[in-house]
This record gives sequence, C-alpha cells and structure tokens, in this order.
Amino acid sequence: VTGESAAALEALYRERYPRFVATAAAIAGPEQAHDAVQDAFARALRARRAPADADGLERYVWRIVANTAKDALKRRPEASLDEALALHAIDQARDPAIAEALRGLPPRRRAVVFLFHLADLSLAEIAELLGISQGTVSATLAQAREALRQALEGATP
Amino acid sequence: MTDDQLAICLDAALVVEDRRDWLDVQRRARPRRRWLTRPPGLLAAALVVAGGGSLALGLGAKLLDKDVPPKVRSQLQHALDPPEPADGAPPWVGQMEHLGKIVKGSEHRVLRVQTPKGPISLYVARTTRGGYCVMTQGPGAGGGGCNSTGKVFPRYPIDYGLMASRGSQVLDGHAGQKGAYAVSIRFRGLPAKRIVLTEGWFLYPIPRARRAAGKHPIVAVDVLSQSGHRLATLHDPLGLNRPKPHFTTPIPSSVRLLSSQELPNDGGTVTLWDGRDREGHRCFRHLRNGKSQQSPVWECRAETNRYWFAPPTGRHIPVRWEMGLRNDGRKGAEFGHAYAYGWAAPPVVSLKLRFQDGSQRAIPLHDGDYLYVVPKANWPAGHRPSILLGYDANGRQVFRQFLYPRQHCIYPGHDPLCKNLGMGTG
Repeated sequence: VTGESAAALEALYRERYPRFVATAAAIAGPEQAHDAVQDAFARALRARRAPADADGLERYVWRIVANTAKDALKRRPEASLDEALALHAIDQARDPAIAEALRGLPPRRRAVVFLFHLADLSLAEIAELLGISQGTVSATLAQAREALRQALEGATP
Repeated sequence: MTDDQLAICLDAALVVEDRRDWLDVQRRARPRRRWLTRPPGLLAAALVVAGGGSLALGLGAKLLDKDVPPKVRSQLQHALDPPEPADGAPPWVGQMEHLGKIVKGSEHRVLRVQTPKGPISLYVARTTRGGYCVMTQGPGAGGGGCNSTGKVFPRYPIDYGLMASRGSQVLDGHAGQKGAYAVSIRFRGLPAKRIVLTEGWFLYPIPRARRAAGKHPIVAVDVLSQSGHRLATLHDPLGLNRPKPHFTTPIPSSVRLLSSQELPNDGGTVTLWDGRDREGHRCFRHLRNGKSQQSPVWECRAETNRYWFAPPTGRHIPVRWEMGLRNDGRKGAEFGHAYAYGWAAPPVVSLKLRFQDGSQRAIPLHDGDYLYVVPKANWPAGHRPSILLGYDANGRQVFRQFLYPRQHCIYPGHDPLCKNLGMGTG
C-alpha cells in the first residue's frame, strides 16, 4: 500500500487493536487471536490496493482479520467455535452479568454478536464469513440480542 | 437496552492483553525471501554485538525502527537539553528542573493520525528520571516539550498540548493514571468522542466546529478505565471560561519617564515609563519615537515588576527579558537596531550582561526596570549578549538566563535571508 494508506493502517491498528483481537478471539480462539490480527495487518500492508477512505479501509481490514482468524481456526482441526470467546475476552470479575450472558449464548450467536457489534461488519459480510445465509445471520443476531437483553436486564439490581 | 448500549457493554467488558506491536506487523509484511538471503547466524551475531548482549529479537526491533526521523530525534533531545553556550561561559541554569537525559533508543512514534491535510505523528522518548519528552509533527501540530517526572497531579490530570497552524488544530495529551484506558472528549451539544489510549497517549485533530470559536467546542476530557469508569477530568482545555484579560491604565499623576536612549542608525529614541494603577499594580510601557511597540500599551498587572514566566514551563522567575528589534539583511548593519527591556524583581537587585567574547557589563535598573540598547559592536556573532545574570543584595548570583546568541537573524547584519522577523533572544 502507499505511504498514506500505511499510515492510516497503523493508526487503525493502534486505535482498534483490542476490538480486532477480541473479534479474532471470537472466531479463532484466544491463543490465535493476536497472531491472526498481526498477520491480517501484515497482509493489508502487503496488499497492492486498499481503499483510500478511512471507512472503506476499516471495513477492508475487518474482512481480512475475520478471514485470517477463520484460516487460523481451520489450521486447528480440533478447535471449534465452542471454545471461541471462551473466557478470554470476558472478565468475569469485572462484569459477571455480561460474562454470564455471553457464556449462555450458543457459539454461533456469540460470534455473530461480536462480528456485528464490535467488528461493525454487515450482515452480508458476516454471512460470507461464517458460511451461512444472510437471513440466518439476521435471525441469529435478533435471537442473540434478545437473549442478552433478557440476561442483562434480569441481572440488573 | 438499545443496540448502542449493548455495544458499549460489550466493549467495556472486553479484556484484551495489550500486545500492540506495529513493528511486528511490518516485519510480517516483508517478503520472507529478504530474510532467507541473510545467514541467520551472522544476523544474530551482528545483533548481539551491536546490542552489547541485549536480546537479539528486542534489538532487532530497534534496528528496524525507522519510524523516528533524525530531525525528530534531534528535536526531542533539544527539548530536554538546550545547547549550552560555546564560549566558555557558565552553563545555563535558567532551566532549574533536572530533567535527566533521553534514554537511548527510547524515541519512537506512538501515534500517527490521518487528517485531510496529511498525517500527524506523535513521538515520545523516555527520560532517565522517569519523565518523558513528546514531539508532534504534521499539519496543525509541530512542537512539544518534556515532563520532568511523568507524575500525574490531580489539578492537571492530563498532560496536554493544543497546537494550531495552517488552519488545523490538534489536541494531544497523556493520561498517566493507573488503569487509564481511553479518553472521552466532551463537546457542547454533541455526544462525546471516545479515543482509546496508545501507551497512555491520544491525538485528536479538532474539526473546525469543535474548536473554541465553533458551534460545538470541546468542554472537557475525561480519562476512562477499561470498564468506562471515569478516573479524572480535564476541564475546559480550550480555555472557554478563562477570565478575560483585564487591562487598566496608570493614574496620570503616577506616570514617570524612567529612561530615554538613542537608537543607532537614526532609529530615533526609545523610552521606558512606569506608573501605578488604581488597583495598586505597577505599570510598565516602552515607546519608540513616542509610539507604543506592544499591546496593550500599558502593562499594569499582578506580575509587573514582581515576577515573570519562564517559557515553556510557565514557572515564575524574577527577571523579564524582552527584545525590540529592527533589521533587514539586505541592508546590513547600517540599518536597524536592537534593544532589551524588562524588569528585575526581588531578590534580584542588580543585573549584569555577559557577552560571547567574555566581556560583561552592568545593566542599570530604574526602580526595578531596565532599558538597554545593544551597541553595534555587539551585533556580530561572537560578541553578542549571551547570558543575563541577576544578583541579590549580598552580591550573590541568584538568576541566570541563557540568551541563545547563535540564533539566526537576531541582530542587524548582512544576510539576505533575514528580513525583519521581530525576533529576539531569550
């Protein structure tokens, strides 16, 4: 990428690193998350063409991060989305209600929630990433939100 | 609970070990072949030799760090350690804080933010006394300074800088609180903007509407923990509620002419005046050929004849040194003039000026004020005023200020590049 895009990539990396890692952890598992993010940004740096505008660039990187994390997951046949998220990204002591609510979600719902709310990916992009239809993503997201709302509002003293 | 609230909850609950390492990303982005062509043993040996036994991998990162341009390294060093006089005169002690030295190799770029006018970078270096020096570069930025200890004081929860140039404005800052994770910049009439800190630092190019004169100016900056808990608040960084300057003039009967001196090259006369206003403050002004060279014409303030502010720290010092200058490099030393004016407050009761050539002379004080026309003989480099010395009633030296005599274009002389910049020493 050009010097300006490289600078924009670096700024994005420095600002959004925690979100990228958390999302990568949601897909590939906590141990692979950091490596996946580093590799994804390296791939983005190597790319000959990248969107020039900030929003486009961020979406572009999110796709690479998600795909890289997915590739990392494929390299570990014993792994599954079940262990994704695990407890790595959720601090039980800090916010047990959220940890409990997320733990209570089925793995796919957890991944969809993270990809939609933290990675800001569109429904179509999530569908492509998880290999499911857009309608399924939409329905899964609605169910996940509802379950989280119930869990969190129920936990509120 | 709305979708936004849900996103905030999730964001706040995230606990991710911060292993940000951009150099590692850059290394991974390099073609592998480049590394395979180097004999691994030789490379490791070179790294160990160069690092005096440091871990090869860690040093490798340093060797590959091309993020800090030499100019920035020099600026960081200069911010901490201004050049001492090269004429054998005593070192500058105006900088009374002991800042230590820059930790070698600690200079690095912490942030780089893209703006429509180009990228802005923020560079930081650690000091041996636990403090840091910071430097920004880019449109709207350009400058920096040092923090002697890196400590956070409740009154100043964020060490911040506000810089403006070429129509851009940038707010940068460091939140050193334990557990500081992000800052939330609050605006008037708009939702706050949250910026995750990088090594405790943030950089915010301020859009026009969010500046002091805009519709939605910044009103405060909160330091947040990872869970969103507010750790500290910096109020009114733009100075929106700062008291307006209050100008008064002296009581006419109190006005006195303290000194009148002729300027060289037919520059006319420069005069020094004092007085006292109704609030009891001393007043100060100087005129050239009867016209004021400053605004407001009269300075009647709490600090007048009592103390002055040492740039860039703003510490109180007893002596004020200002220069009036007129030059034009195309016309040479046959044009223009240079004079110094100011005041000396207790404990300083007498002033002496030391020149680059080692000579020195007393500067007469008139009820604490002084006016000194720099003679033509002291304009050329090598003969310029280099150090201002202040003595107490017992003849003890209690003040010393380095005057940067090698600064370009500060005295009249022949140099086509020097127009009348209005610059002075000190």
